[in-house]
Amino acid sequence: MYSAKTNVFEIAFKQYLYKLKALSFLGLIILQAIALLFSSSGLGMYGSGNGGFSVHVKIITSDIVIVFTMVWAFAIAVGYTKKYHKDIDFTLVSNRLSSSLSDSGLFLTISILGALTSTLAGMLLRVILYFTTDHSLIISGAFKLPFLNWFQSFFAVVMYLLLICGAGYLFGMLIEVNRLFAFIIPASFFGLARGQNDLFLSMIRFFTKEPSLLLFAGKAIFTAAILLTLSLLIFNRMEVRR
Amino acid sequence: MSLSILSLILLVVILLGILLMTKNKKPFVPNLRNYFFLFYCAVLLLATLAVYALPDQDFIQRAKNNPDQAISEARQTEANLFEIAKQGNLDHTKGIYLNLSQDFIVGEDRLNLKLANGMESEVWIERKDSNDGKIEVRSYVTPHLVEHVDFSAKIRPPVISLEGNKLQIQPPARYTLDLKTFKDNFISAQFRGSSPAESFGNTTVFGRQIIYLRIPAGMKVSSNQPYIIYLD
Repeated sequence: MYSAKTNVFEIAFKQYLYKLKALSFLGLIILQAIALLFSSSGLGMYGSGNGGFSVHVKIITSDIVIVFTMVWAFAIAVGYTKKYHKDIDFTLVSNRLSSSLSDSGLFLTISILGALTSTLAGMLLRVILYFTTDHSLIISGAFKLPFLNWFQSFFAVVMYLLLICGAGYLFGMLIEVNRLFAFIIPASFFGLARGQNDLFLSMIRFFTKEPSLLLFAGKAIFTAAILLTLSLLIFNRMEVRR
Repeated sequence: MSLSILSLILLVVILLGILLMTKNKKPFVPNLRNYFFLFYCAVLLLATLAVYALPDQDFIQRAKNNPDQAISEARQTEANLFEIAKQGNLDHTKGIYLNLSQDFIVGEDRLNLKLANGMESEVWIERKDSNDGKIEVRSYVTPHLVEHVDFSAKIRPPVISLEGNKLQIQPPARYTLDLKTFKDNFISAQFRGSSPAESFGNTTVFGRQIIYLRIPAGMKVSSNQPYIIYLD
């Protein structure tokens, strides 16, 4: 019999705050700085010329920053399934559900902050290039993005990161069940991509070809919820403490 | 400025929200590493503010009208150039850029026009009504477009010099214009499709460049280049 009544959401929230305080964003900053360096030379180019001169147009985008942020989010999500992180949960009043809920909350925070920094890093790239190159050769175009475009991009990146965190968490959990999954899952993906290319592409296109942001958000949230629930179910079946 | 202000508000709201949720007495940011993160966020926000504070005229502007219309207008201007020149409207026609204006005083009534090999510009000559001993040299370009970006203002003029009665016209050294354009990230493209402002293709319009000489009425011209057009 216990004198204090506990609420799983309260405990999960406390755990979430504890984990958030312990989380370091240094890796994200370093990755985004490297990505900015790569992006500054442009991701594509087209050009043309006549006898006297040539004109080249370099296309600059912050795609690499977003991809690197996705990699970081995946690594963080996998990391939270490791013994070191799970052992920390046992130092608090905790159960498997509160641990998974707090991790999910943390992934949402990571997704929001990752999306915010990766989409704004594009602005930093613009400023760096403006001051370090001849700015009279910069085409106005998408230099100043309308707010709606930026917000759309931010929201979509949040959804993608959430999805990636969910996938990373499940992947990490499966590895915790059996180390062989570390090879089986990537091999299955490569095998699927080569052997069942249409099926693989359909899976990818289910997200990447969805033109409606709201429908995409629905798909991403639903899929992330499934991935996190599966992770919780696997976590529940693990030994109490290894 | 709307984006910068709203993103600033968004970040402040997120940070305030997290701070309010952590009602405990300890500071929210307990370690140095996360101060780095806050500093990084501040840099990103300042960069965003800076982007929207930069003057628009610092950049090459895209055509305001329909891209196809801009190309069609450029070709139309190119086709009508001779007529426009005959009417004396080169300086007043939209889409024709003056990129060189030089005057030379000559003491003789003969002009030896020497065009360097590789000169691609055409030379058009108009005789003035008077013998004022002055040669007026102008260089004009019709619109040069890459997709719907007009880079005519970046076209370098020929190099012109007068030695005695020999007017030498040389093309500028071969050069490359390295333009830069910013494209929205691949995730945004998924929801907006390929908007005209961000789609790139192979449509390039290299306009014409002409050297226009206004010479005294009685001046005789000889040249090493047979393709000289007299407007009168």
